[in-house]
Amino acid sequence: MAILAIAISAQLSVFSSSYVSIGRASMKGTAVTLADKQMEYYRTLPYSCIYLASASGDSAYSGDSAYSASQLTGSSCSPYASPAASATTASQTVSGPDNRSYRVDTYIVSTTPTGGRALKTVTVVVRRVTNGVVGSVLAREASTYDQAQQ
Amino acid sequence: MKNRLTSIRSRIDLRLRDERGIALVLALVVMGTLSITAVSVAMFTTSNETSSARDRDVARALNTAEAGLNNALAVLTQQDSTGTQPIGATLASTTFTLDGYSGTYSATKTSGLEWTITATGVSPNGRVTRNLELKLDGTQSTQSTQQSPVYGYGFYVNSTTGCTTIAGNSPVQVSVFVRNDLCLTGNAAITQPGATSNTLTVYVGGKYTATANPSVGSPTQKVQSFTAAGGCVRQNANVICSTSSQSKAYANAYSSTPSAVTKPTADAAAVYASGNWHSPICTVGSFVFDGDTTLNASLGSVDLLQSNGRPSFDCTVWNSSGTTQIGRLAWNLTTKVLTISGTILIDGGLSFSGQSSARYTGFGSIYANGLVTTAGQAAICGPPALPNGSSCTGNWDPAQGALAIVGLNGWSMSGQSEFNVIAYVNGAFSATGGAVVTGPVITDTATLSGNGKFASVTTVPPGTPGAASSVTTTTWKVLPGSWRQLLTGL
Repeated sequence: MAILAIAISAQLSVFSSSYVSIGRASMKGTAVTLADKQMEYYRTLPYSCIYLASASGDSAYSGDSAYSASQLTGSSCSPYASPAASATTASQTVSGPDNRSYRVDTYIVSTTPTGGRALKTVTVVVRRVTNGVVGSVLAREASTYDQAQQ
Repeated sequence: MKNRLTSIRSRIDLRLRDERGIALVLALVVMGTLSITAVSVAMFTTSNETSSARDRDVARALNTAEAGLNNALAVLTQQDSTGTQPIGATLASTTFTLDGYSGTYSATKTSGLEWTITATGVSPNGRVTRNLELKLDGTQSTQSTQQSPVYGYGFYVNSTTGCTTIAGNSPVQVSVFVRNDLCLTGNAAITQPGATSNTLTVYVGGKYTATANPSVGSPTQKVQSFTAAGGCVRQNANVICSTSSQSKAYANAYSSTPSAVTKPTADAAAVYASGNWHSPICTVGSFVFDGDTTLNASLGSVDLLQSNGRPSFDCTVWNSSGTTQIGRLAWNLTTKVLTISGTILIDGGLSFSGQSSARYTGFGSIYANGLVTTAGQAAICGPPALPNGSSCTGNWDPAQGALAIVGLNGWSMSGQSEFNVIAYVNGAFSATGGAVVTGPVITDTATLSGNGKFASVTTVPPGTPGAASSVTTTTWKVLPGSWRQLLTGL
């Protein structure tokens, strides 16, 4: 009986850890989707419309390696229509397709490759939110944008 | 026998009804089943984790490759900004990192205005690679700027205040445009050249003022048009301009409508920035265009020909990267020929001392960052005219060669000299004695008391302020539909 109890306990722990692991993988998958969605949105925008309305955020935002004090900010990109608020918000909490809450942080800085003109580098970081508390990084993506793309 | 069989059956029934030990069997079966299930779940979980991690790597590798394409775009639009790199030119493979991921990009020019870019993004563990391709397409547009109309006048004064005074004895025989008052004194006159009539236009933005003798045109050789926006004064009395008996302005048409023709701007800073003036490439001798590396009149005043004693030189100025020739200036002491092409800038004034007497060939402009002056008996003759002392024999034909001298801080001529050049002056132009400029004079203010001998030109040399220009602009854009993912990565 003792051996049986130990075996069953071990199996239960396997099941429970598997449950947690699957849940975590699911969250990471959702986070990647959210990061992709944010990144792809910038690909639809004219170059001049890629900016943040405000580059400030909480400690989690400013503590990320992608954070820079000289991020690109703006308020309009005439003659084009202003981008959606979700594209200009540096830090926002959104609900994923799994109905969980995620924090999507966006960083936009100007970089210049050697021998080239200035680019805009966008980094999207998705963090978990548990009971309103911002947790660890689930997904992050980074890419650059050139004027010739639009 | 029957009893024995019954006994055996009874023993079998007893054995079959005895359940002792079955729990162990069941436990082993259940354990086995659960173990298999647990292993399956663990394997599924591990697989799911791996798959999830790979999904993230794929997304990030793809974005890194996309960044590589954009980096290449940023570089190519600078390095081939004019679209002039030859077909087959390449952008060498360049490695970059982005947020922990690495990538490379390279490009090849596949047609006159098309680059094919490839970029790769690799995950940190090297297990995921994404390769992308994109085409960059260029379109060219040419914007042409016509030559400033001021060169259609032989004598143009830009200032709107004061009076432009002409007091010489020889008539000015060229179209005149002064935006301020025009004051003719002594025996000054503006007349049709030779036996012509109805070819010259005279425009006065302010008031036309004349003493008793001066006239514009003549009763038999009228100028084409006479405009005095501020009216006419003759011998201190207001007169009606179109009443030639009062104004002595004989024209086929009269007007008082102001004109908006303005002097083109001389962008000395842009000219200075265009070339490496401090380090010309000289194949013969040497010449100093700039005393330092700042546009600050560092050379003071430069005696260009040194009374025809300057040693021969042949110097070319290139742009800062050494790829484009900005201008060439050469002097042959033996033949006394000055050769000019393109744009030349001398960071100082320009003087022609004593017996400087030469002819020039070519088309070009010389910017003098100071006063242009001559006080001796100099002659600068344009083709096919030849110098003869302080004058030129023959008539300069600007179609065969033309030199524009841009005086950035005034122009002063005295003595006996003849310059077959186009004079563009910032500040005051002054010609006294027998000094003449035979090309057009475009200036802010002017005083003439010598022998005015100007002429208009059809085409001014390149580099002259207000010269006709043609600028071709290349705009690079991603070719729609050219983005594709190459199936070489896992």
